[in-house]
Amino acid sequence: MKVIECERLVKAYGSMKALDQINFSIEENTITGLIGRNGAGKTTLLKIIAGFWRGTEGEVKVFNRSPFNNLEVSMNSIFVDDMMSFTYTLNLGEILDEAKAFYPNWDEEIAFALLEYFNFNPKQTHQSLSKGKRSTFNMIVGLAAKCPLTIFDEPTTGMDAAVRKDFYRALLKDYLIAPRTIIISSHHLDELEDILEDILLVDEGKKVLQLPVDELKEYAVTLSGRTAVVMQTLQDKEVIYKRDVNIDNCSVVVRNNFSHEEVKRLGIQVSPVTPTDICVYLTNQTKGAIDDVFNKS
Amino acid sequence: MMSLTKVSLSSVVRLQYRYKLKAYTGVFMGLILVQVIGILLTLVGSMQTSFSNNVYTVEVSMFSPSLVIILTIIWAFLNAILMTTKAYREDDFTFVSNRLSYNLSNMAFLLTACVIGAITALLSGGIIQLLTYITQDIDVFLTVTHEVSVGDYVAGAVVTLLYILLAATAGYLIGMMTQFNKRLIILIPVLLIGLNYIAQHNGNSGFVNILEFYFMEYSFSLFLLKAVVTLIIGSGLAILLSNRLEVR
Repeated sequence: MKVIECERLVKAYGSMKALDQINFSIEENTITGLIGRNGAGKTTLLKIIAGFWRGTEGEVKVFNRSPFNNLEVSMNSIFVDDMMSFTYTLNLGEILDEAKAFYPNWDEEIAFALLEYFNFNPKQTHQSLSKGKRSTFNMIVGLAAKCPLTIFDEPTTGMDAAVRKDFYRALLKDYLIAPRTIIISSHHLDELEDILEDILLVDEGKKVLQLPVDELKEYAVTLSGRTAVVMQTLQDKEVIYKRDVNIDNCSVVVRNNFSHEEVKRLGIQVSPVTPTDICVYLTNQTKGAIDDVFNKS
Repeated sequence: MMSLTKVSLSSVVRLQYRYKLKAYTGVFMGLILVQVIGILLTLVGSMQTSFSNNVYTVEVSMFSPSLVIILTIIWAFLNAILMTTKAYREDDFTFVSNRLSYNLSNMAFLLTACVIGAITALLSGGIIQLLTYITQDIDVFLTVTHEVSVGDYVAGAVVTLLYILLAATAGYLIGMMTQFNKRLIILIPVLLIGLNYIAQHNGNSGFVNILEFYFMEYSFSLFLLKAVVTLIIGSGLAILLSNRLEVR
């Protein structure tokens, strides 16, 4: 069953399109990583799915319903980001008690166990927390709510490396106990890779690709060797990115849809490309590198 | 698979209303502050008149909870505006909500706050009498008790409540208008003052008319009708305006 379906979804601000005819669907009980550069439209997409924002054109269905103004979608989904707002009149413990009233699947045991594990004082207020602590608390709410659709938008903002690691582990453990549909948008794909099943890569409001992580690992390879030889083999290949090209040697990232033996025989080295790198190459702007900005003169 | 949970609007509104009673304690702290200030100001600056026939001078000081009621009306107006702001809205949409349930729970909360405000404002009359008796050097203490029936008291209380509710609805609607379009923060006062100016220029009394429409109505039942209709139209308009609002 598909939990989310987007068809030609557009979100426009005047002539600027944050989402540009995006099409995709997400299957039930999967963990999807929403990957993209800053301003690619990740947050916009997630907020429309959560029913907070309206799409300008196209269709979005969550649990087969239009999410905007839909109570059922709101009840069965939770949107976690670093801007989550909790009233200052309640302390952390009381906030968790309130959340329990709202969410039918609320797991009180996990909530308070995580609160203790991450050294929170239940008498503290949300406003008094540091940025990383706030993100950690929001994550606890997101996990304990056990909503059939759980959305994490940049959940690790401000968290230190140790907490991030704990978070990924907690997420995976909890997912195994209570399978549900989870979407995480993040910049740390290298850290996330192991817990994700699928990756949805977006750029400039469009879908670049949507693949299982295992397939993404095989998606491309780097060919490196003598420039003259490598260039010859490129003719029937889909070039993704040219890295370090000079007269003698070069290495080029290409789609991995050919027999490796052939090129290896020519003395070309074939090496895998990590999903993180593939995502970076696929969403690279054609304007050149950051160095060019400083090398103008 | 996790099964989807069915929900009804009323159950979500109830949850949100309960949450607001716990979360918005600041509203009630504000009420206490405003009414205490009202009581103190009443004691300090009472209306005084004096009569004299050259032999005796009679000084009459009037103490009534009017000022407390007026301040409560202002309190209701400002709190209603505050409740429409982004900060309050985001609190709601952290948990389960849609725009209708958000509005309905806000209105239920405001109604509760206004009822409490009206009751305490009316009761402040007693406190004012008591404090006057203690603090002022008064020879004759007159209170209006006879010839005022219970029915009159109830009518007075209802009218007080309705004034407070009208103020809250006006605040809520104005707040929602400005959430709908930020430019209305400037446009609304400009339009109101401008239209009033034009109306007065044409020999009409302008907004004095509108104020008279509500405040100079001597028939209780007519006022009740006017107020209730206004409340319904105002709330309905606020719900319509915010129904397509983007949140968070």
